[in-house]
Amino acid sequence: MNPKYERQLKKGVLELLVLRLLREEEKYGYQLLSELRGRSGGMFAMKEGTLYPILYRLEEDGLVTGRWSEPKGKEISRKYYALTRQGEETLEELQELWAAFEEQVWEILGRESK
Amino acid sequence: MNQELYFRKLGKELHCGKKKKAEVLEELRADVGEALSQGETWEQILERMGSPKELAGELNENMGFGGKASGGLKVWKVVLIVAGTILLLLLLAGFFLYRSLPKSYEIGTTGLFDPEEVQASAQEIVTLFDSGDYEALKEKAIDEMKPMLTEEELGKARLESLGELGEFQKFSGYIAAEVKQGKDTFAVTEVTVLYQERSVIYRISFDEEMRLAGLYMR
Repeated sequence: MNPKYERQLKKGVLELLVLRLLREEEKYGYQLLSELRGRSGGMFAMKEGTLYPILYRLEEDGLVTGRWSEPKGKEISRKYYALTRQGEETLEELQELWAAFEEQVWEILGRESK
Repeated sequence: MNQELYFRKLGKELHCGKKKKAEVLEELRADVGEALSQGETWEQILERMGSPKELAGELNENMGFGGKASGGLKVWKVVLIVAGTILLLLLLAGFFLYRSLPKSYEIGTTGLFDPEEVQASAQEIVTLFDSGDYEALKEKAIDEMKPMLTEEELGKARLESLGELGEFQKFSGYIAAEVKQGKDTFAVTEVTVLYQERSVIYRISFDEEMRLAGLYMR
């Protein structure tokens, strides 16, 4: 299969997943990359070039806010992203949408083939 | 490629405002630092991020970047490219138009024609025409002209457009030039002839082999 079909299919849920991970606590870019990879069994192993544009868009839309941490000791300064109130609302809406989405897709695919 | 070089190249490839660029680079640097401290090697990180060009390409493509500045810049670039292309096309069109337009030179300039021979030939054409010797005219003409050179075509045309001329009196005027059009060069003459009733200007052209290539009158 041409990898672009897989990429295209995954693309739509990335915002949802990033918002969901940030609901737990504020996180920085690398952390999001590792968690997405680890928690999806590698399915959502993202590249920086994919993740950062998503973060910037979410930030621009006011769904997340970023803050640079004060470097403590040996630790370097990192940019942490946190979910805003609006981000939480959007996450809920997207989760509902995902549920409906999944159901309708299966409706068409035929549930028995699951 | 070491980190310093990587980020310098990446910075060059990013199409966004200065401030945003600095922020993106700083964040990526922090990430690389983090990844290294977690035990990833620079080679592994490089493999994941791709070359500076690839990473910048992804960032540019996936990012509306919100940067009005970068957006504006892009629009300007497009405008410049379009304007440049149009200008180039105009220049090319102008060049070809210029080349395809006939250009005239003083007779004798190219050395292809002998001015005296041209004048004599032009006057001879008029004489043959006046005497109705169309066969002789045909012999002197290029093939394309031949069907025109008959009593029906040419004699009638002169009668209808200019009326009865009466007897030939004299050659009262003559000018000539060489006209270059594309690859072909012609000798173009205007022979003014005074007849009893009026004068007629014949425009007679010859090709490089001195064959009759055009005949107009007024």
